[in-house]
Amino acid sequence: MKSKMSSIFYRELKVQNKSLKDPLFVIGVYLSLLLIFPLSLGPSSNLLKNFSPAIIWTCSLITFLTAIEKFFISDISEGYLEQLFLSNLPLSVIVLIKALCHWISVGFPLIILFPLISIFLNLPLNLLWIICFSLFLGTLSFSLIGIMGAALVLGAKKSNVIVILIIIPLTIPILIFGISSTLFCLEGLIPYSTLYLQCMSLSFLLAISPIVTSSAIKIYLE
Amino acid sequence: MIDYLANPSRFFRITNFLLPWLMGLLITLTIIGIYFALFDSPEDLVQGSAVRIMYVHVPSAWLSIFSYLLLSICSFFFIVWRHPLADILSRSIAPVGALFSLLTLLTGSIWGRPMWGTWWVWDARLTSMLILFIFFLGYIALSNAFEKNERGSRPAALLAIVGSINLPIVKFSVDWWNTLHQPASIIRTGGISIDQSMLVPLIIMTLAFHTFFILVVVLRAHSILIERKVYHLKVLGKI
Repeated sequence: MKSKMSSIFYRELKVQNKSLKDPLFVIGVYLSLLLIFPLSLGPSSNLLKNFSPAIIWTCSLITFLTAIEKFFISDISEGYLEQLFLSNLPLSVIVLIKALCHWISVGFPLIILFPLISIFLNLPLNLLWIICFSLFLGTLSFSLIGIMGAALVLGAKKSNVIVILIIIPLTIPILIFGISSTLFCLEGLIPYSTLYLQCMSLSFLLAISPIVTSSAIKIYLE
Repeated sequence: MIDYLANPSRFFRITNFLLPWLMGLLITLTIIGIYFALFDSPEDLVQGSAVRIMYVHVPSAWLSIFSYLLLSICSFFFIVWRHPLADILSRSIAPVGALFSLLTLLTGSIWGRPMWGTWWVWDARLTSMLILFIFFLGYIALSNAFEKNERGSRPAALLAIVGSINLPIVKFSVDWWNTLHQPASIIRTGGISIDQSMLVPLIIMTLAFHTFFILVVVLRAHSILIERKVYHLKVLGKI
């Protein structure tokens, strides 16, 4: 069981990061989105400082939602997902491993390189690690919700539009909690309460999202 | 009793019989409600006659939450028991609930302009009602997104069940966050805090809205049933 899980894990990592350039592409997407805001708000530091939590979180949400609806399509067209479904590993465990690998390919480079990115927004550096931690909690939640949305629109026409309509209302509480955490950190206080709320939403999603995703995949495979 | 009513043809026959009576009930309740709301109820000390928008705004809000609750219950029945009538009812409820939440936002906006001075403010109650509206839109989009319409029923039902997490947030948002919107005065611990003369028109208008809701949902369910019958007859080659 453990060797099966680890082999699926390594296979997913290799598929999602075919070359070592893939994390750099993710960073590139994030930076391109980030670039829009200073250019449109004007480089004077006041507006940018006030909006920086929102900018960080909105850009990370959009980075997670790029091409999320195509997440399962290649696996299904190759028949890989059906083979996994037939093994004695429960589908929700497989989905959880896929979500973790998605986060490692998209969210992990973001968080590792976040101190460099914070230079662009002139953020104060003392509580940066707490911002990284709250970004970790939030981006893992985005991965779980994104996988859920991708499974629900499997086989639909215009899935790229509908998946955004489904995912965004579910991510709004996570955005609110994450931006509050970041706001507190930028003022120099450790945001215990909002970090608890982020942990609560992450644990809720860890419980709910694999179940819903596996039900949706089973519906598609019928 | 639910088993008895759950046969789609029986549902069609019984509700077909009840439709004229529902229509009569609706007209009666609406006339009584409007008379009480517009003429017989007192004016507010500060707001004057503009408080009468409350008699449309509050029932729409209650009904939008009620319809999402009903939507998630029907979706749960559909996922667990795969009953086709539960799916038909969910698809009928979704557009009606979306329109009621939109009506709540619009009437609240119209009421807010003279009272609060603004058409819109991003406080907890308004934002969560807007999110409820978007949830309804997501359900309608997903359930109609597939080539064969019935393929979309089960993903949409899953979505409705996941979205029911939003309901306690909408109901309790005025208590949890500092907000401009008035806190609850009817469904709250400590009893009803609104006066009798305003409560009676409010209850009558709520009953009228509920009757309207049942009428429209039943009509939509009828049309979906007939549509599916026609589709299956075409597939069988009988038409």
